[in-house]
Amino acid sequence: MMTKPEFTEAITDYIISKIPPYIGLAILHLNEDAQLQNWLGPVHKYVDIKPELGMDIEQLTPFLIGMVPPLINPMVLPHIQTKADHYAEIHIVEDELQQFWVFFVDQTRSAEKLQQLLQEVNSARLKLSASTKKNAQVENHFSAFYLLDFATFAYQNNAYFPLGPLPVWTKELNNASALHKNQVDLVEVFPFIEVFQYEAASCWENRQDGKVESGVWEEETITGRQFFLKATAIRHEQTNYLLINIINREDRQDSELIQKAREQRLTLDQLARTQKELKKLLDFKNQFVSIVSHDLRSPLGAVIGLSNLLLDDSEMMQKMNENQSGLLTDIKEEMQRLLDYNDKLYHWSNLELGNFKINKTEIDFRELTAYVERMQHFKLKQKNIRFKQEIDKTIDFVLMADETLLGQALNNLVGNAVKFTPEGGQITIGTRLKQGNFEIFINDTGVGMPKEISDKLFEGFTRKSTMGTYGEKGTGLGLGIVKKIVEAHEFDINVESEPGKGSTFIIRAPLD
Amino acid sequence: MIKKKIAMVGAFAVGKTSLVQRFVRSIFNEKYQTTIGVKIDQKEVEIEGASVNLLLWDIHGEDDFMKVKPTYLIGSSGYFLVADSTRHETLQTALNLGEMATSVTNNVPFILLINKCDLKEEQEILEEDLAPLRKKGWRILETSAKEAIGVEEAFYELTKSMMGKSKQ
Repeated sequence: MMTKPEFTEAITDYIISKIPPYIGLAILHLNEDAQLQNWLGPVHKYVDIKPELGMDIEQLTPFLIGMVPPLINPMVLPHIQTKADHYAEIHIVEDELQQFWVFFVDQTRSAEKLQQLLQEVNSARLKLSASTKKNAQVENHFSAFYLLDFATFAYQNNAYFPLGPLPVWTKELNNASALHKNQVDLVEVFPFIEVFQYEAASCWENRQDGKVESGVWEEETITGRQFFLKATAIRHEQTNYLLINIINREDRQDSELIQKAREQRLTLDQLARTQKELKKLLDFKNQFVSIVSHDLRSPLGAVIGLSNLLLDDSEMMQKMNENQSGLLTDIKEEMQRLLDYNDKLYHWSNLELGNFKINKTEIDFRELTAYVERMQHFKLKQKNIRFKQEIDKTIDFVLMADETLLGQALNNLVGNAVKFTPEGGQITIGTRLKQGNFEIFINDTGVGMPKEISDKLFEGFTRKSTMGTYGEKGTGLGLGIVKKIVEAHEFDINVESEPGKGSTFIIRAPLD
Repeated sequence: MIKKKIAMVGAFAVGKTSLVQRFVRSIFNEKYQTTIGVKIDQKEVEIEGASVNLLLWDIHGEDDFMKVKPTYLIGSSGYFLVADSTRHETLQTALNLGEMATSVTNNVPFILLINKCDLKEEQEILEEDLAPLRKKGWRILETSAKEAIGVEEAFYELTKSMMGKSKQ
């Protein structure tokens, strides 16, 4: 006996909780290749061969062929005849280090009934086969496999000979009677075996011991119930065997996972198709909006021009009373607002359609902010808002962007700031370096907004447009357009705001 | 009685099992149930006065999870390559499996089935995809296991080709 094996934590727990306190406990410790690393207890009670370090488990315990690694972990095999006069409950356990442990718990005394059955099996086998004495001992082990739900056959001269009784599940087969013969036409019963024989041949024709497993196939019972089978071809001590076993629920967990994964894949494919269809419809809508808004520009511009002509005609204006001239001014202002809305709609739909090309040039912020100030001059003046520039001239970074689009974005942001800044307030536009980014910020001393609004500000087109401090109406498109432009440049935008403390919109461009 | 093996190969969820179930049992199940491994069904048919027992090998669908073993096709007298007309990528899988089938079987007859042809609004496999294959002499049939369109015809036509081949 060698030194005591070092039990891992999981194995210690397993021994304490699962192994009955029984005289005759023997333990085999195997490495990840199922080679013997250590053993403990009366191993000789269960195996004929003297254990040696590095010995293959299938060499030491032929009755465990195909059992390590276990089909399920842990695998418990009760009433296994390990030697002619010994029965054991065998536990095969894989630990957290991918090593294997085999526990033999003596069950010889409780196996009298089983022994009687096995004697009958051996008798039947002796009648059937003229095998050598050596092979007979091996077949003896194989013939007990029916207890593990394996239908076991010896394969000789292209024919299959059953070894031991057939497991219960075979009785449910449509053509079960074909199995109860001395020589079975296995291909007739399981057509799948016909092709598996090609794979099995690679094992059976080998001089070395070994095994090869088939894929899974499905059979139906007489009552139409489905079940799954798997075959294992084994070459052991120059004899060929074929084992067929039923795949139980635990082993089919993978199948259920595959079913779920495939169902999910089908759903995702369906979603992708729906999304594609939706994109088509949205593009159609945007194209429609783009065409209509483009065509509306001229008549709207014409009405505004005509209104201006009337308003500039002092002779005509003198003939109007105050109410009439007020109405004319309202018409012009509302048409101006409609034109502004229409322009934004036109830009929005074109941005959505991707009908624009980013033409990047070096941005001169002094020029760009001057342009924005010019665009907002009237509104700034109207509300007596101070427009301040804080361009950091020390920054050694040149921003590359589309001047027209960026100008449009900044104009929308400043326009937005004007809308929500009360009379006498201040709007600051500036640049700075912060946390590895180049930042353009637009800060106002306006009404600000709560977090629940600022968090959702850029989530796309909004149906709600809040009134400005002067009762200015908006389109609900302005910030959506800004976001599109920023994203098209692969920049980032966010807002910092608090009610009553104003807002700061920040566009971030990476320095590299 | 003559026995002939027909293999059904294709991507997953193209309807191989449904085609077999429609042909053998005249049933159709809407629910997708993935095939694990192989299911073998049998059906006796009469072709030009001769009875043939068809062994229909319904082989699991090919995808990243499960690859079709070439050995499953060994001994086939014919095979169906099945694609789902509503999923374009399944045609490529069928073509790949077709190459594999050609290398394993000895130039046995085969038919490309474009299944789910009843879903007219969702067709992704178009005639322009199939034209080059027809040009190469491929036999292509549109089927619907759900609506029982072209299923009987496909199996009878393939069996007939197989019988013709075996007479040669």
